Amino acid sequence: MSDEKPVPTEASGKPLKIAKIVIDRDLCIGAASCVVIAPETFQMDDENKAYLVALEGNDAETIKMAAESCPTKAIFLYDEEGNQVYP
Amino acid sequence: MREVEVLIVGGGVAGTTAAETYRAGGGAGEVVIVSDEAHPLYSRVLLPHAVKGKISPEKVFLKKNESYPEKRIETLFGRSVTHVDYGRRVAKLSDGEEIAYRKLVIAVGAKPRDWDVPGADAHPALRLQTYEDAAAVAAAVIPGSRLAIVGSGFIGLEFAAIAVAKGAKATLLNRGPRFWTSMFCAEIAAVMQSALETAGVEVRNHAKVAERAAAGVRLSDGTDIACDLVAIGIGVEVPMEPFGDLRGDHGLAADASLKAKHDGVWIAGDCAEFEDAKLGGLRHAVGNWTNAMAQGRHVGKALLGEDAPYLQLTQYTTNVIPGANLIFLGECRNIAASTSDARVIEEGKKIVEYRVLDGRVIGAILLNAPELRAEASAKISG
Repeated sequence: MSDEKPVPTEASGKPLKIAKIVIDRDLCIGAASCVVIAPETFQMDDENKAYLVALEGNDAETIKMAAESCPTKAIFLYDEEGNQVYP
Repeated sequence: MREVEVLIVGGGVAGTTAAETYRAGGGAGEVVIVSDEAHPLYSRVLLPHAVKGKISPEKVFLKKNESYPEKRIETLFGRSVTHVDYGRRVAKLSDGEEIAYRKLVIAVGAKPRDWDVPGADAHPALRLQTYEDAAAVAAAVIPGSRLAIVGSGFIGLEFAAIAVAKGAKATLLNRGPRFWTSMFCAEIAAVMQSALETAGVEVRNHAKVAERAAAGVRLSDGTDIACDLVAIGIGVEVPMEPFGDLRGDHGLAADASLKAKHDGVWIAGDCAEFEDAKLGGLRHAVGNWTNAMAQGRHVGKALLGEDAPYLQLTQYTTNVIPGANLIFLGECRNIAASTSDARVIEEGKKIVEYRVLDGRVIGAILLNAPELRAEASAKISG
């Protein structure tokens, strides 16, 4: 994570870092909107559920945008202190 | 008259994503979203979950009212655009106000078709498009309700799943001789019907409603279906009237980059009838969440000056009926001159149906075969 460039969020001005991503497989319906936005981070598995490819696959803002695009809010993002960033 | 840099007509996922992408990419101009709904962005995909009580109703919202001003996006909720003068670059709103724009994004989505059988006006029916619709369905469908579902499309399937989840008794009225004649081969149609029946839903084919009465509906062959509630899922249509000469066959006409023929105008989401560069230039309109989101994103970048074809393979999925996990890739409808190439992988369970046009694969339906998604996508793109 050390070489990941922090990106300032618009709301707080603080750099956003995502330390953990959790995908709720029960909520995921396989719409694949996360894959469209952040394909280096999310892909679909053999059961048509999204899975995490790599935590550092995309920058933090792109990952956040991918999570926000999920129509069932199945992607949970946490910062380094373990606080839930989204949803 | 007020003048803004970017005027976005429609506050759904396409319009909202266009606004946010423009802002996130450094766009500094004034952005105004006009939306005929009274709410910030919510997920229509989550409405059935809320109806079934799996989530609380407020969980369907993806934005809060304050999310917009944080990104300097202004919202005019509860208003719509009634006319656009493309030459003067002025949009007229439902309350009479005129707003001049430098760039216009049309992302109005599609509206449920009117149900116009005799008697329909006198008796309320359930719909499932808006937050208010979902609240009405949640209140009306109770254990033991007898529900007649008119239409067997995506919304018909959602109503069927809601009835099952709530312990209601559902009869699904399908006009055609079998399921989804415009899309499915006979093998997939048979699995769908059987999956619904296994779930406890009564399915009637050749069932055209002739009349609505207080006690239920009457079919064109004279059969009476007694029910307490009627739920309608008969498709959608794009509101084209306000947008003048952009009217196409199935939506508002855009090119492969989602640009309209008038300068400074783009079209995104369910309302766009576009030239799909991913499918060899096929012109079609696509109505699903992921496409609307991705097109909104594409247009957001176009507002920042990018000019590129939209190159996202459209895809959608439904798995609300147990035993019928469906993935749709590309154009799956039985469009003119296309042929179907169905492969039964496991009798009565696992089927892949390719849609072929001029020797090119343009779509695929995967029934209970999610593991073939990548392979099928590659066939369409290749």
